[in-house]
Amino acid sequence: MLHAQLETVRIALRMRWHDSNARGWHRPVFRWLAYIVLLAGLWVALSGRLDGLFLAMGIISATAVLSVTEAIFRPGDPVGFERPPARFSWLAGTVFRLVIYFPLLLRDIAVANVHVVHLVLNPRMPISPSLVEFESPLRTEASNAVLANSITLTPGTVTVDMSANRFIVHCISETMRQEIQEGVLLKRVAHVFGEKVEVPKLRNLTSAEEVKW
Amino acid sequence: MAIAGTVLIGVGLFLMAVTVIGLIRLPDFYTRTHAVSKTDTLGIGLVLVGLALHEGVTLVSLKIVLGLLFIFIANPVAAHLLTRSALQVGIMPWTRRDSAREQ
Repeated sequence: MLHAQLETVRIALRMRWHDSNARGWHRPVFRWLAYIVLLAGLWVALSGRLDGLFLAMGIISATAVLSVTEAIFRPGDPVGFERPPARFSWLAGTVFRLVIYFPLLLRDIAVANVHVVHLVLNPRMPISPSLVEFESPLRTEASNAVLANSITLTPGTVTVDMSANRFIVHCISETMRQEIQEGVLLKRVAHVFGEKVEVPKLRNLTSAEEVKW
Repeated sequence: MAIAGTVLIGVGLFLMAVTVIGLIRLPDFYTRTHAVSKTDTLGIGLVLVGLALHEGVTLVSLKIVLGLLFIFIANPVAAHLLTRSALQVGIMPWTRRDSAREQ
């Protein structure tokens, strides 16, 4: 049992430095550095102490945690997706636009919350749920993940499944369905990641047979 | 600051009350997931922000903000997993047509 685990770790260690597809900012060393800085930053934020001993302990434990969990978070082959450009200007621009994206998302969440509160408290409860699917035109893994999470965070819509480019979304009312149809979030996410997209057509799913896995 | 914090906590508690009402009133699994995971996210979020405002700029409020961040990441993932496994075992969502058939 233990032997098998050690073997897995050994293979993982050997593969880690031979990711031949990785170029520029996708090289493993940058990923490791980013994670260590992130975890050590979290350590400093939670301990609230900046003296050398604590900082060293933080960096050591960040590295230790990373060496155990890195294999889980290592990006695999992005099946069906493109790798994002490895230019620094693209990375900086995307991070900057993501920072602007969050307040907009928060505003959307607040507006949609009022809508859902209205639906729940209205005595007639004017909901009309529907299950829809569409092909996401976004090309990278990260942008699709952000879109799926944004749809789920916005009350009234849940991303039920996302496999490759196919999204299945459950909408609680006609208003929320319209929002998906117009692709409000989709366009915004595409802008953040610097992609040009066409808003895809929605398809209603009404029976279990149509939900092929 | 304290007043703003109290107001935010109040609104957050209202949203969580709506969550519970929705959990009871809504017709099926998927719509209930909407109520539980969404209004709840903002509800807890507002309560935490309110607490952070009460606390002021300290380490404690930083930890509260980190908790907030975690909830905003964990909640959509949980909602996604719940509905996904429900659909995988073949539960189809309730629609207006179903209610017409029942009557």
